[in-house]
Amino acid sequence: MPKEMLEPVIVVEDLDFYYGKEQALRGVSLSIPRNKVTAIIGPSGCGKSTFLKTLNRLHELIPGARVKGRVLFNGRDILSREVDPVELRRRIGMVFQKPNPFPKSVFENVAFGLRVNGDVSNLKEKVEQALRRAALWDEVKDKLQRSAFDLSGGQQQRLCIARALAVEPEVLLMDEPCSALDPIATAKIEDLILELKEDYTVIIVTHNMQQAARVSDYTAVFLTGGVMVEFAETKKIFENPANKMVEDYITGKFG
Amino acid sequence: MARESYRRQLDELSDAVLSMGNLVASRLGKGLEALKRPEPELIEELFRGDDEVDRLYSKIERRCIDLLALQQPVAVDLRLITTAFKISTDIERVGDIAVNLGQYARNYHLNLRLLPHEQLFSIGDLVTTMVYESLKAFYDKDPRRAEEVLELDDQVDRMFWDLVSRLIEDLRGSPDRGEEIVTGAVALLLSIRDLERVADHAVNIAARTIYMIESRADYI
Repeated sequence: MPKEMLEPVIVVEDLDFYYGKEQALRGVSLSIPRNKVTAIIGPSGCGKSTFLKTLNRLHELIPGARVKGRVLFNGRDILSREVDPVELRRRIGMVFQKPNPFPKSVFENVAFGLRVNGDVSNLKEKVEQALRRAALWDEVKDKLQRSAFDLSGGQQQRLCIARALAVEPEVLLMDEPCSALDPIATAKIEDLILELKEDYTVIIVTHNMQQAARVSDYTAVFLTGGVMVEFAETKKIFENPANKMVEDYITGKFG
Repeated sequence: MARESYRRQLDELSDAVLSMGNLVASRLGKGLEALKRPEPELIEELFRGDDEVDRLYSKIERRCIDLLALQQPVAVDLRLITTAFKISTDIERVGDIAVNLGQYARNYHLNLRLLPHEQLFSIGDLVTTMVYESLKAFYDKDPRRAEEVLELDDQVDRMFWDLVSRLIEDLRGSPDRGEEIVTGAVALLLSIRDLERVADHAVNIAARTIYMIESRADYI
């Protein structure tokens, strides 16, 4: 763990993960600092997306998936059966690789989580606030009742971010959020990520190392076999990594 | 505009280069002042203040490395960063020369007066202007101003060789080869050699600036 790290919001302790007999994560321990952007990078199949899924228990939807270890969110082990996964996912939101808006209007997409939670007072204001936070309001304020599918890919992804933000999470997980977007839409999402850390903790999985370098404060490098080999300030990882394998990976010598 | 934080960092880099440059140019002015009027406080300030120049230099280098490592700069952004990286070395060297002038002032100023030295200050003023102008050209991204700096270099060279010839003549004509004359001549030569170097550094800053703005490889 980086020495200068601030108070962590999530502490992962000795996490093992299995898909049936196959082990996808091996003894991962990691503390995620609050109100910072943490990037998870590594080659395909290194377990980075699996790791992200365990942070809001999405792995439970995968048959045969099994975890060992602890994931403490504000000090409480979220892998414990006593934790309600629906409530957990409200507090730790997620944005996926491909924008996945619901087949509803722009407004209803953002209002969806609020309605599910029965939080319908001042709905318009809350939807507007979420869209503003996702830097989308100015582009959609005159078409709130239009289908979300009428938006561009980049706008759809920001809509999904607004949808996640509407229920006021503490942590936002992003799994390759720009991989389906063009460079301009990507730059907008990256700008947004930098703004979001004022209020949220962001954890982003990306196979685009340059993106990790641009947007994150801390970077964790996973390598094949599901081992996390280095976690440090992003500058340190990209300028002077401690681990030779990390250096070889980020300089393109393997992976 | 996209990548706002990155754009801000690029602006901050230009600001940092300009403020380091302005500090060094003002220290150069103080070095010249010390040769005219070698007050101990002024000389002390010249010696003491170099640490601040070095600190700013390291910070600029750090900023450039971070931007290169983390932001994948291309095209004009890449040229800005490489230019800042390169010209900050020129600025730092000018800072060292300001310290040298302080040393000559402390050790030899009285002896300078025994020789033709007025032109030293004309060269000093001209090269100081070149430093300020080259920095302004860099900061304002003004290639015309940078070209003007390049043109001044010939004038500095002429003044330099002219003063060297006058000094040689003066020494030949002088029956006195005493300690004061010898050290004064050495100090004068070192001073004008240093000032001529300052002009070269200003030329480097100006040429890199033209490269940065117009991407002309012949100015690298």
